[in-house]
Amino acid sequence: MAGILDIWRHGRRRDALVRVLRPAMPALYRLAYRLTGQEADAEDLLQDLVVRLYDRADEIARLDRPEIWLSRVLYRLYLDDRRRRGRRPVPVGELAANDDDADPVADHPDDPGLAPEALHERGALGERLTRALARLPEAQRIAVILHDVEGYRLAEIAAITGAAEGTVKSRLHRARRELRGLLSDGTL
Amino acid sequence: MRCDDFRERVQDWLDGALPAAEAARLRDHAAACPRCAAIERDYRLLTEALGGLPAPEPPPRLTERLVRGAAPAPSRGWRAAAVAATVVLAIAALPWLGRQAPVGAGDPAAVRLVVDGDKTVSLSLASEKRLDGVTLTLVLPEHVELQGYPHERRLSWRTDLSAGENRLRLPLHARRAGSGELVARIEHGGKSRELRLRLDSVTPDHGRRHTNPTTRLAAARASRA
Repeated sequence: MAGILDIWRHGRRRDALVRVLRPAMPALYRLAYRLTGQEADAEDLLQDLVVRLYDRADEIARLDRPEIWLSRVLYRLYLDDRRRRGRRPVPVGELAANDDDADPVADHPDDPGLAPEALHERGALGERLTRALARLPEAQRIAVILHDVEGYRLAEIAAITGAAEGTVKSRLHRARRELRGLLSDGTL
Repeated sequence: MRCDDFRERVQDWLDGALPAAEAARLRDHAAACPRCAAIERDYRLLTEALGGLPAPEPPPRLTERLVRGAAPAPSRGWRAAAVAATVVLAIAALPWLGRQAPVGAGDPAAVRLVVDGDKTVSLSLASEKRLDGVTLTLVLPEHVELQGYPHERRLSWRTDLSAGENRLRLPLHARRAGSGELVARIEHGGKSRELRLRLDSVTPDHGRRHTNPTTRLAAARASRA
C-alpha cells in the first residue's frame, strides 16, 4: 500500500527530473504520437518512459544529446508495448535482413506517378498519406516518420532504433518508393 | 546517365547526400528526361507533405504531470507491474465532493480484461488545490485483483493530492471470467466522491475478438470542501 501512497510523494528528484525532461518533451511527445497514432496512447507511453527514468535525472543531465537517448528509450518501450499487446510484432531483425532484397516497388518508367493537382489539395493528401504510412512495414514506417516527418538525421535514427545507418537509409528509400506507389495507384 | 541510374540515386540527390558533380549529372538528366523529372517531382512533393503532417501540441504542464505520476514505489513488484501492463487511460474531470451522483454511475466506462491477463488502468484525479489527508478506497469485483494484493477486494489508504492532475495506475489481474465494477472512493473533510469502472473479464478466445485498449472515464475535479 505504501507503493500507492508514494505515487503522490513530492521530492527533489521530481523537480530535477522535470528540469531535464522539459526541454525534450515537445519532441518526445510528437514522437510518441507519431508512433502510437493516439494522443492518449502517446501520454501513456511517455508515462512509462518517465517511470523508468525517475531516479536518473542526474545521469540524463550529463548526456551530450539527451533528446536522442530519451527517444531511444521511448522507442524501445513502444516496441515492448506492441509485443505485449499482441499486435503485429515488430521483427526488427527480419526486416533488417530483408532490406537488401530485390525491391518490389522500384520506380518503373511507366508508373503513373503522383497526380500534382491532388497533391496540392493539402487536406486530402494528408489523410491519404496517413493511410499509406499505416500500410508500411513497421521498420520502414519508423524510418520515414523519424526522417521525413520529424526531421532526425540518419545517424540519429540509427542511434534511436539500434539499426545500422545503412539499414536505416535502405528502409527510408524503400518506404518512400512504397508511399509513392500507394499514392499513385489511387486506392487510398 | 541512364534512367535506371537516375532512379537509383534520385533520393540520395534530394537528401543532399551526393557530391556536387554527381548531383549536377542527375539535375542534367532530369532536365532532359520528362519521366525522370516526374519522379523527382513526386519525391519532392512527398517529402514536403510528410514534413507537413500535423501533430498535436503537448498538453500544458505535461512534464510535471508525467513526473508526478511516476513517483517510485518501494515495492518492486508494484513498480514493475505499473510499467509492464497494457495501458488503459481513464481521465476524469468533474465537480468534486458534494454532488450526489457518483462518477460513472448508471453507465460506467468499461474495460475488458482477458482471464489470467494483466492490464493497467490509470485513474486521473484533478484537484484545484492541494488536499492533505485524503482517504482513497478501492473496491474490486470478485473476478479481478490488484497485482501484489491477491484476494484483497477492499483496499484503503490515506494520502495527499497535489494541485492539478494526480494519476493513479492500478495494475489489475483478471482471475476468472466475470463482470463487475471497480469503485474508487475519495474522501476528504467528511465528503466523498466515487469513480466507477466496469471490468469485464473474458476468456482469451473471446477477448481476441474485442480489442479496445483505451477507455476514458470522466474524472473528479477536487476542491477543498
